[in-house]
Amino acid sequence: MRLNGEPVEVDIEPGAMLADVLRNELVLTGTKVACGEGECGACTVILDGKVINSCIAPAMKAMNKEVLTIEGVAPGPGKLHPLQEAFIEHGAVQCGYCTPGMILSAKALLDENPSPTEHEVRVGLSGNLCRCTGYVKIVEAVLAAAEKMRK
Amino acid sequence: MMSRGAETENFAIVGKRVPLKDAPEKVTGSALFTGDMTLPGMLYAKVMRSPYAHAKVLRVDTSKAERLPGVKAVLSKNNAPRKLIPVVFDVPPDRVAFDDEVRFIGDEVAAVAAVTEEIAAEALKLIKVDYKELPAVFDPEEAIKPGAPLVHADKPGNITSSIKSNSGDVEAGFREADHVFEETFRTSAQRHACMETHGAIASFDPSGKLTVYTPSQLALVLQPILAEYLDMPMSKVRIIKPYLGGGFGSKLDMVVEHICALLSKIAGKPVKLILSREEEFSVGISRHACIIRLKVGVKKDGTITAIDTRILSNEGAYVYKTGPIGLAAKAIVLAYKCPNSRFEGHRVYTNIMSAGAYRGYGNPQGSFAMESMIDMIAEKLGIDPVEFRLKNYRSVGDIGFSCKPIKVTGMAECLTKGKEKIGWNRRGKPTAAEGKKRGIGVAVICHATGTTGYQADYTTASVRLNEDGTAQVFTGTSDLGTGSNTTLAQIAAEELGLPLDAVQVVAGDTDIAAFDRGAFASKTLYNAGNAVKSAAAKVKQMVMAKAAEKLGVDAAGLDARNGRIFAKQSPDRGATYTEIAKAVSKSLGGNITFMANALFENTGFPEAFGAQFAEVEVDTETGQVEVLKFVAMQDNGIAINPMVVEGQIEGALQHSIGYSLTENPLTHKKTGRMLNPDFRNYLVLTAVDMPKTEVELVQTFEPTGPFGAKGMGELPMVGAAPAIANAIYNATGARITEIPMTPERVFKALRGVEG
Repeated sequence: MRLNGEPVEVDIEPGAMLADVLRNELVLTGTKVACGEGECGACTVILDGKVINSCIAPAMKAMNKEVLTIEGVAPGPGKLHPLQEAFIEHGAVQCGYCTPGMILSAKALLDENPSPTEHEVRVGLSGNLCRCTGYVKIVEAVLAAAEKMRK
Repeated sequence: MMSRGAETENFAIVGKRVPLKDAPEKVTGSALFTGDMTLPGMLYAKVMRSPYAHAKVLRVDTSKAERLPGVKAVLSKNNAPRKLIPVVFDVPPDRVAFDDEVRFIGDEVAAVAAVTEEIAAEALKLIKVDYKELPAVFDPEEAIKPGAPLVHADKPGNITSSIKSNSGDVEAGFREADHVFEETFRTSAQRHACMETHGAIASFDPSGKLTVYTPSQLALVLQPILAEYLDMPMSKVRIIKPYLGGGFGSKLDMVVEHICALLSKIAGKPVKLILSREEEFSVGISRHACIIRLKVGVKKDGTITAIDTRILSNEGAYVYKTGPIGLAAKAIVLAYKCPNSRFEGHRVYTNIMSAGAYRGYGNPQGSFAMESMIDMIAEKLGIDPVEFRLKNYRSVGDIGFSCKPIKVTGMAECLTKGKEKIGWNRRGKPTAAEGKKRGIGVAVICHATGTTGYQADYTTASVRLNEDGTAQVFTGTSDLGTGSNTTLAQIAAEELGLPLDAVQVVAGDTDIAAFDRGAFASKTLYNAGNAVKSAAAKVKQMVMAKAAEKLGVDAAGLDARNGRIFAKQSPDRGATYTEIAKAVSKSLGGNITFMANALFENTGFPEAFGAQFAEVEVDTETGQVEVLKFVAMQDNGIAINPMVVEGQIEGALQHSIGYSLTENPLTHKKTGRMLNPDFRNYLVLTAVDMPKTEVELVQTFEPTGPFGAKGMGELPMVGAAPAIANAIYNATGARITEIPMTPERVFKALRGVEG
């Protein structure tokens, strides 16, 4: 598959889930597993432009496709994506466990809809659970990043 | 949302909305949590759990499991230590790991460590257990009845302990009353549902020193517990706390660390155990479900003359914490002015998962009862609920939750400002659509900072200034995502006069941290902040003495800001911290550090106060309740970092609104099994469920707090349930006395059926 912009080849068990391959074989632990049932969004990655719950996605599904994980969101070393910057500035990060999945969902949302309303942001993030922030500053950060990205 | 706090206008860094120092690691996914870590040769553990709520474990045959290739260690009653597991903080221990008896569905029967998770899971299937099923009990009211099955043979009546307390003359108080109200309230065993489940990695080094990586809220208290359990000296036990993915009280207890350590000792390799989400929901730790019987006597004018309450708390199969029942009582008898009160509480064993600490610690339960009751009273007497509270809530000079006289309170301002924000005057003028009704409700909240005397409450800190003008701050407290590594750095930076970037907080490793009893009881910032401020002040004094020499100015005439030390009278005269520190170092012929320790003991436990308002819309056809708007007014002293404080409040509302309406842990009445151990069926609020929230900080100045701050983490968890219950009543005339206020319960209440 193409992972974070680079071609990658990895041997896997046939039944392996993408999240496990990312975290174990490829040692990219930014993607988290918090429920293993596709219910909480912590494992969100972007596959061919669409968000998926990688904990229930067979890794084979990603064969010859483009995968983006949190490790590939920043545009380069020492740089941050406007979403990452906004999350930091607006206090949208507390414990950080939901953060990678949340940022990927937000990115997919903004890639498709660069001018979302607040409600559209909330809906776009409704598959990502957070127990720390109450989502308030997360939504603020996404709206702020969207504005910055439109400029 | 705006915040006040004129005192902080002149500060360089305290009072500022500073982003978390570790946010970059979190947004890039590079922050390592326990589950992300691997050690060379690491094994994976799985636990075999009882399918019965109560049974004798007659025989455990692990021989086949032991022979499975890849299995390196097996634990069961055949080889586990036959000793009581020490419990954090003076609770009499009542549990033996892998015991002869299992007491709830999910109780531990055996554990395996193997080279892969799959092999460990296979091995569990090969373990044969002979159980003898015993009668079980799940409801506390049933459990205390004579003849009920005993969860622990040595605890008659299934009562682990009881408390009684009295003030004044309650019977006389009831005789004086014009009206007496009586009601029973019920609350649920809410789940913390942290995004990170419990887990640990244990590893012994060749010298026999044990290192355990675990997301603990109190590494320095876990260390002696684990050492005692393993019969090891504390100096050979090291607890390291990686990034922690949510605590809220669930990560205060030793849940898996001892299992990993025992397996690692047998296998001679590191062992990792991470609980699955299903395990986290069904065998971890929950909030205490309580049954609160409340009787209040009042005079026509609203004066409260007597309060009498009996509380049963459902402890589950093993006791982790005894405090919640006491704090539930405080929320009832120490909230409003009333000289006569009586409280009787019983902590009851049942054959379900254990309850423990959960943000609020009994306060949400007690406040649900009392704040609902106050509205019932206000309505009967024809007094506005906000006015009733303004008149009757305890104030300066009255004994507060700290069990000492209240010194500072912003409660009145929280009520009057909050009232405006929610549009309190719109009450009784519903404008909802057909089939829907709208209402507005209020609840006031209070929570003390610290343990209020039921345990010693102290912490230590060290500050070390390096020769290049940067500083390390050593603290024992734990950053749970609560931002303490940043806010403590802010405090040290402000006190020393350094830029924030120059200060690094070092925490989370028992080998190098200072001592702290743990991040709980809303005391992290207050306790650790005070200790850090004191240690920083000492270091500053040392530096100023040297700077005075170099600059030829009296030390008292010097100040520091942003890394520069200068004469107050002529600020041009100065030098940077770096210049001073390096000059001193050079003059002494080598490296120098300025270092100081401080100990802070919390004896004041200052109360934080607040008021919360909810506007709801009730669908009278379905019983569904939507929270349209939620206003949270809070006085927790000066906000060291207003962005952090707001974030804490907003996060608490997600828990408390869920507690009120949607988070419904279901236990099967016959088997005791948890029926919804997953996010599909245990409903926590998502981004689209959260109502519009407005948070405002009323910043009073707490004289005993660092830069005027006091504790705030649990307070905002307390008010949603009663505020929403009161709003539902305002909308529909239906009083709900059991939470969560599910559509079924609301529906039944609307139709006047006992719900």
